[in-house]
Amino acid sequence: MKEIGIEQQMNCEICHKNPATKKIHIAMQGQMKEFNVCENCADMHGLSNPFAGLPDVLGILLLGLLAQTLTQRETESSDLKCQTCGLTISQFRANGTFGCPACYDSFRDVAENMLRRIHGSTKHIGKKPLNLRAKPDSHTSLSELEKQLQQAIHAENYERAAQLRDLIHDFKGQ
Amino acid sequence: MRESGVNITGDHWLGECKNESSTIDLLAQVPIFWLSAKGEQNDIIISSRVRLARNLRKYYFKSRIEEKDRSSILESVELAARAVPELQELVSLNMDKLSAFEKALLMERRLISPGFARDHGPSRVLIGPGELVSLMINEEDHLRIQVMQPALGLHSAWEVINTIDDQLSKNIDYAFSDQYGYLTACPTNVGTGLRASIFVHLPALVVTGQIQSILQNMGSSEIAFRGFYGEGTRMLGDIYQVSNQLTLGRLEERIIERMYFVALELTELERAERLKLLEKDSTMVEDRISRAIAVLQAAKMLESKELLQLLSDLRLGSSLGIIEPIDYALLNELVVTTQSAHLQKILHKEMNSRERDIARAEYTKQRLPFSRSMQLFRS
Repeated sequence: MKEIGIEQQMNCEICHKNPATKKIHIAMQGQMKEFNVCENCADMHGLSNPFAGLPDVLGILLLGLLAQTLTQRETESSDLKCQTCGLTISQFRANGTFGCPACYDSFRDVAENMLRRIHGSTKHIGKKPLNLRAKPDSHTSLSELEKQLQQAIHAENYERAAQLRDLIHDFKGQ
Repeated sequence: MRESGVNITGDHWLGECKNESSTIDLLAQVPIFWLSAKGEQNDIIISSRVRLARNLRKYYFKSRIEEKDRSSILESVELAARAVPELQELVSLNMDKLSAFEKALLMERRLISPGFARDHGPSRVLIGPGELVSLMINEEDHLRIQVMQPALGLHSAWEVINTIDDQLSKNIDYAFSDQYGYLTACPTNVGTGLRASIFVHLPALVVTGQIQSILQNMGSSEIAFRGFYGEGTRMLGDIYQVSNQLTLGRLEERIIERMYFVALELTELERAERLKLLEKDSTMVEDRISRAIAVLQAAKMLESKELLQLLSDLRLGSSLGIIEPIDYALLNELVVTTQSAHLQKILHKEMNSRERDIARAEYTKQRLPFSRSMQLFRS
């Protein structure tokens, strides 16, 4: 276990409040794992000077938890992969484009967060390709559809309005 | 002449074209309809553009696709496009058969994007009559459909593109999900895949610096301001490209409507600023316009950037009634035809930058009606 200086500003991985000022490397399951912690937490849990004694009980517990988060983090950064095209989440993060249409589902959580941030929405309410549109009911008249459309717009139910608009469009095209 | 792998079948608006080069030759000679200034707000709004980003369900996106799949996409999209009644007279150009010069020419006519021009590998552009419709195949997305209209023609551009898109979806299996809509390579385009833009001339807002606060206010919401040739390019000749940023969670009609009102708002702000300028210092305005006329009449060499600024001043003078009206279609056309590639095409020779500047000054002089209308009314 050794500690070195921190180059990049990030928060302590134990308290999540103070800026991390120490990098701690610990050998776990044959691999060196790296943690970023603040001075305070390092001192409190006996992680600051490995030669002064063993980490306290809480320290060991915390290291276990940290190892868990680390595994999750690694899964996200390297293992999370689109099963269809093989694009990894880190490749996506690096160039901002997906590898195939299925990526939207493969990286659903990341995609939804991103879409919410960019567009303020995660749901399409616009048009659909012709073959995916509902067929107009032969018993419903055009004027009835138009009436429903006005009601939907009035109620600001834009999703329904979009469906009706497409139906009317198809109806007129028949 | 190089041989082309693509057959352009039947008679069409460019007549019979044997290969890419002869198509480009003909293309450079036909007038561009979207520069015709026919329509609403034509003194301030040069043109309108709507584009849709579409992909094919069974293929990977650009970053992971194999070359043979890119070639299959070319064929299936072209086949689908030729089945669309509205797209009967398409000409088809293989990008890898075009020289850098020919690509520049298409870019100046806004038929292809700068990124598409730089790209390698199988890609193709299909162009409809009057250059109102173009389809870029294998751009960032498998298909980018673009419809251009003169002046503030956003609604008609949307109508045309919506019909073409519906027709294409009969024969193309689009990548579409109920949740996210049309799936695109970049999540900034997902959903409707729709970008509506206007090319707008805002000299008064630029000269008074008002444009900065407009950029800040509108730019921070859903509207993007870009330069003359799109993303990452400079503003030239006081012309901005203004577009919607957000594509998901909105109805197409509402995006179009929103951009239409942004366009009207910008024209109103510009008109108000012009009147203020005139009230405050009409001599300054007249000075600027008469200087532009003088330089255009006398200059032996003109760089593109300088010429675009002079054309901007003429346009302003004409719009304010300071000089006799000049046909906006002519001013629009000169913005395109005095660009490097067009100038060389029109004059049938390759030229270095100095030669182009000389040719540009000469060509502009010939085209502008100096004798008839370029007198200041109030001087």
